[in-house]
Amino acid sequence: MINVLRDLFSPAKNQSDRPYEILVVEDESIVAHDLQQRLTRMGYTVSGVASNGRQAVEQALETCPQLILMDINLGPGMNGIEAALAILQHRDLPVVYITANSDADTARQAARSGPFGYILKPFEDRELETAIQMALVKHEMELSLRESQRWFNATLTSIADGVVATRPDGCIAFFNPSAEMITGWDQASVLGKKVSEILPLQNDGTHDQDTDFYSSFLETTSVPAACRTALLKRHDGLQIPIEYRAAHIHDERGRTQGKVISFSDISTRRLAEENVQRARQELEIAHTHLQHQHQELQSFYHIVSHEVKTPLTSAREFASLVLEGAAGPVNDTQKEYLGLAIESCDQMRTCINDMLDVTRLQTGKMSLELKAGPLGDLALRVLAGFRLEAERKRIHLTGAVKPGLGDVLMDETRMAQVIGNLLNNALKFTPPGGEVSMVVQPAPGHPGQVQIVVTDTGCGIPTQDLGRIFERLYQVSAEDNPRGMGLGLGLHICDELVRLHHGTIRVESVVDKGSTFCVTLPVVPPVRSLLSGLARSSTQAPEPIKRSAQSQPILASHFHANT
Amino acid sequence: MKKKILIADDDRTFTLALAARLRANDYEVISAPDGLRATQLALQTHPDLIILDVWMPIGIGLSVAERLAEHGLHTPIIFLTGCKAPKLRKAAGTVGAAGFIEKPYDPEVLLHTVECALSRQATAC
Repeated sequence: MINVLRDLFSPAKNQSDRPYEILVVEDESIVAHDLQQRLTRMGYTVSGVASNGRQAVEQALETCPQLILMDINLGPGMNGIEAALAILQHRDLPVVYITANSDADTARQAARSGPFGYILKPFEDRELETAIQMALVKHEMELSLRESQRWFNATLTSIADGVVATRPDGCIAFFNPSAEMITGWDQASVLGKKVSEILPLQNDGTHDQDTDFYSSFLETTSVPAACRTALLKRHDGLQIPIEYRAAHIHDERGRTQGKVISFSDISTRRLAEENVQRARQELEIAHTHLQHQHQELQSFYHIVSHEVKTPLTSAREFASLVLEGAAGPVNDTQKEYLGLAIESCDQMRTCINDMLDVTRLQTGKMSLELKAGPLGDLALRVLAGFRLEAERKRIHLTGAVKPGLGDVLMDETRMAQVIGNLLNNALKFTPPGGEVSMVVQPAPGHPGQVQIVVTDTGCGIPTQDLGRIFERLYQVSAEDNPRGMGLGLGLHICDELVRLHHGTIRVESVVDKGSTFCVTLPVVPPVRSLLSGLARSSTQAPEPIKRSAQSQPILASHFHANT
Repeated sequence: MKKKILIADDDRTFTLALAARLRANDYEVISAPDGLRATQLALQTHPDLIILDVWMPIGIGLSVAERLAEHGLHTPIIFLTGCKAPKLRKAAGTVGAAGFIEKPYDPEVLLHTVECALSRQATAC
């Protein structure tokens, strides 16, 4: 131990590598001189020698030595212990007493001044040196301990969280300024009081006393819960929301020395949370309302479309009957007008069907009846339906089906709708004398896929519109195409229907040169196709594979479109 | 002799159009606006074919068919449906439906279905 101390204070120097300065207080000049010599020999500096108590106090305050060697018996007047107490009032200095008296009374008196050492005369150099070094080390440690206490105190005092520490009996031992601010109590009046009195906590949801916290944590040694929130009743009776956490204070041996609770006022945060909560609720209500309106609108849309369709069909039927002569002879002008009326009915029916389809697609009620079949045959059948119109418009319409195509799993009605829509568009936007061609072929570079390519020599689509033509209600600028444009739903429906068939649709176009639409669909693996073919040839009709825009197949849509 | 067809549907315009189409194709047509009148008219006039709307007031199509069967009248019946609900078709099958026509109808399909139903009756007879 001495060796360690020697290393620390070798040989008698302080941290700034200067010899320690010692004040010697001794009334007998011979002894004082002897002490001075012995100390110098040991490597210390003697800052002064005082022969009585008053001198000792004066010199100590003036020279500020690092240690005082103090004789207890200093003749008449102040004794050594009294002198030491007077000095300690002003200076924090280690005092080592030297005395010839070893009686208990003197020792008790000396103890009052918190001495750092006690040497009995006569003493050896070794004893003196040890006593001095012990005193210096002890003083250094005390200083550093006091410094660290000050630091911790300042830290706990400065932090914004309220901090309350209790002793093992649950009484408050520490209460920082933030705790004063938050609770409305001052430190002086809470020290020694039970923490549960000063921090009455209520459950912030139920407003019940949060007895659980005090009984389960503060009164026991159980592991504390994580961060909690509660309502704190302040000294003035007001309640504020706080967030708090608590921990046990353990000493180095793991014994519980008390608890520490830190807490913060969360009124502002709570207010913000409540605002967010309110805003969210309002949004939810608005959302539900909108959803409801949307559903109503769709239902309305559906009903109106259907209700319009029925009388429209009747109107077309009457016009058709008259045109056919069922109501008497019809002249050519009447025939022409009736034909136009029927054409208008058909246009309107297409619009209504498109609207119904879009509603179905949007609500996920579009159901497909998928069967494996040859796409080429279907495409040619659809194309045949456009021959008359092409002739009337003097457009050269061609159709070709390349050999070696597999079957495609498709809803024939819906696929016919897609092909019909593409051909109709091609004829609509191609001027007289132009060409429209349809080719069904294996998709180049994509084995297992088949393509329908519809090409026209029409007006083309401006580049800026190409990316948007499959959007719902999107129409290429009406100025360029003053003729009846429809609703702008056709290509959107095509896109969605092709997607439901696990296919893709894409377009290439050059203005004034023409457009090419290409629908690519997966081919059914041969085995499946064969099975499907066998099923078709048997008397039992095959159960059609249903696929709908929703994950759950809809067995039947309520209205049948495409009629 | 012209074949007599009874149409029962609550949509007056639709019924008129359908009747005109059938008359134009040389059928005699009588009509009823609801299930009750359709039943009465069928029992009184014994038509060759009945076209019944599935959904109509005072007796939906299916119940009319059941009632007629109870009275021993086995006239072929074509049902008019607004949709192709398989459940409905199955139910109609149990009361001996001779065919289905979806609304709005395609005149060609209509006439074909009517002819088929009448010829089936002829074979049965």
